Amino acid sequence: MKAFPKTSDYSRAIFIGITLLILSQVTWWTFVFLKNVDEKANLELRHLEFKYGEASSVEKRVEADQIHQAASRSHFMFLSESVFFALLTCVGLYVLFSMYRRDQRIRRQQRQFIEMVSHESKTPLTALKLRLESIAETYEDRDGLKGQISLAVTEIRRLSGVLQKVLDWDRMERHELIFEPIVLREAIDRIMHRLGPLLEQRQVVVEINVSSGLLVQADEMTLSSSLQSVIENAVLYPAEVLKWIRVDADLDSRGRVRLLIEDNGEGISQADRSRIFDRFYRGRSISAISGTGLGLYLAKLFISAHRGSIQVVDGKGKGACFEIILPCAPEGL
Amino acid sequence: MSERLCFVEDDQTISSLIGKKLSSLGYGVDRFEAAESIWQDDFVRWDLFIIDIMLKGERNGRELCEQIRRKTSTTPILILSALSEPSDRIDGLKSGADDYLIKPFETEELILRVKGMLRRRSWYGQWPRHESTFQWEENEIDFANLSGRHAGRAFNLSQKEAMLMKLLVEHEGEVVNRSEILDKVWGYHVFPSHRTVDNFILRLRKFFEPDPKTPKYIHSVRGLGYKFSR
Repeated sequence: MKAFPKTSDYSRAIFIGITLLILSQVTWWTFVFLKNVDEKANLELRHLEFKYGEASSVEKRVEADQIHQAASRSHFMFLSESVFFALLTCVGLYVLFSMYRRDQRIRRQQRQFIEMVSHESKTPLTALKLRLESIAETYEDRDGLKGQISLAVTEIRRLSGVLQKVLDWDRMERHELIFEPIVLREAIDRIMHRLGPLLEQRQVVVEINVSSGLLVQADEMTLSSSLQSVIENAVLYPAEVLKWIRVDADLDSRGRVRLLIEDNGEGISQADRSRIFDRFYRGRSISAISGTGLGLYLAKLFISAHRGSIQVVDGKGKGACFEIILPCAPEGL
Repeated sequence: MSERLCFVEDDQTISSLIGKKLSSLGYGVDRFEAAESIWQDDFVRWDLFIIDIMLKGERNGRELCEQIRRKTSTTPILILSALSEPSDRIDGLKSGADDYLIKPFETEELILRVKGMLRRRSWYGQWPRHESTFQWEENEIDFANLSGRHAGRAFNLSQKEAMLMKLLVEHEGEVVNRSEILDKVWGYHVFPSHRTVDNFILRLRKFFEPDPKTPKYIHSVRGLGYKFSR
C-alpha cells in the first residue's frame, strides 16, 4: 500500500500568527492604559501644586502619596489583568489548535482507511468476476445460469464503480484533481463505450451532438464519473419507457461549455429537482429501480470542484434534462 | 511457435484464471507470484510481460519493470493494478511499462491489449538498418537500436517511445490524432487509454525538447492530436 500523501498544513503558522497578533494587541492596550494612569496622576499632582502652592505641607505630602499609591495600584491591576487575559487567550487558542489538529488527524486516518479498503477490494472483486465468468464458460446454461451470472457480473461492475467514485472523492478532498484540456466529445464517447453493452441490451438510441472542437478544463476521471452518473440515471428507467438519450453541447453567453443530457423517460418532478443531488436521495418516481443514491450527489460535488454547475432544467420533451456548465480549456494549447 | 507471456500476479485466482484464458488462446504462459522469482532472469524468453504492482516479497511491480527495461527495451510490458490514481498510472509508465490496466478489468479488454501489443512488437524489424536513424538540429534517434541523443546527451528509448516518435516523424507537419496513435503504436484504439498517449508525449518532450514546457518540435494541436515539425 502506498503512503498516503500529506497535504500542506499551515495550521501551526496560523496559530502562531493569531497568538502574536493578540499578544501585540494586549501589549499595546496595556501601554495605552498605563500611559493614561500616569497622565491622570500627573494632572492630580499639578492640581495639588495649585491647591497648596510651592510650600511643602503635611497635607500636601499625604495627598501626593495617595495619588502615587493609587497610580501604582492601577499599574498593578492593568498589568496583571493584561497578563491574565493574554494567558487565557493563548491557552484557549492552544486548546482550539489541538482539537483542530486532532480532528485533521482523524480525518486523514479515515481517508487512509477508505483509500485502503477501496484499493484492497479491487483485487478480490476482479478475482470474483473472473471466477463467475469462468463458471459461465465452463458449465452448461441450465436454469438460466448464464443470465444469473451475467447479472452478478453487472453488480460487480456497479460495486467497482462505487469504489472508484469513493477514490475520486478522496482525491478531490486532497485537492489532487488534475485539471487539463479534455476533448469533451472523446470523454463522452468513452463513457458510451463503457455503457455500450447496457445501452445495447436496453435498445436505447443514443444521439450525440457534441463537436470534437469543444475542450473543457477538467479532471478526466471525475468528469467522466459525473457524466456517467447522469447517463446511468436515465438508464435506471424501465426498458419499455426509455427509448433515447440525447447529448448536446454548445457555448453559453459567457463562453463556458453548456452540456445538455436529455432522455425520454418519466422526467423528474419539481419536488425531486431540488433534492435529487442530495446524498442517498432517490427520486420517488424511480424508487423501485436499483441505484445507490450516490452518483448524482458526487456528480454535483465533482462538477462544483470544476467551478461548474449541474442542475435539472426543462427539456424539449417531458423526460429528464440535466444542464451541466463547465469551464472551457484556456486558449493556446 | 507460440508466443510466451510472463504473468506476475500474487492473487492465485486472477493468476490461474487469466493464465488459463491466455493459454486457451494459444499463448504459452509462465506465472509467478513475486518479482524475486524472475529478478535474475535475462527476460529474453518472453514476448510480453503482464505485471501487477503490489506483489508478494520485497520488490514491487514497478521495480520489476525497471529491471526488465535494464535488460530489454523492446519487450512490451502491461501493468495490471488496483491502484487507479493518475499518479499511479504515470509512475507505472515511467518505470518502463507500455500500458496500464486498472482492476477490475474486462477480460476481453485485457486480451485485446495483449494481442495489440504483440502485433506491434515486431515493428522495429521492419526498418532497413541504413534508414533507421533520423536527425534534426541537436537531436538524433536511432529507431533500430532504440536510442536517442539530445545536445550530446545519449539515452535509451523504450520501444513504444520510439514507435510513437517514428509515427510523428513520418507524418511531419501533419496532425496525427490520438486514436490513430493508439491504433498504430499500441495496436488498439477502442478503449479509454488516451491518457497513456499524453503521458508518452510528455516523456518524448523531456527527451527531445530544449524546453519541454514550450515545445518546439512536438506540438499538441487543440482537440485534434499531435504534430511533429522542425
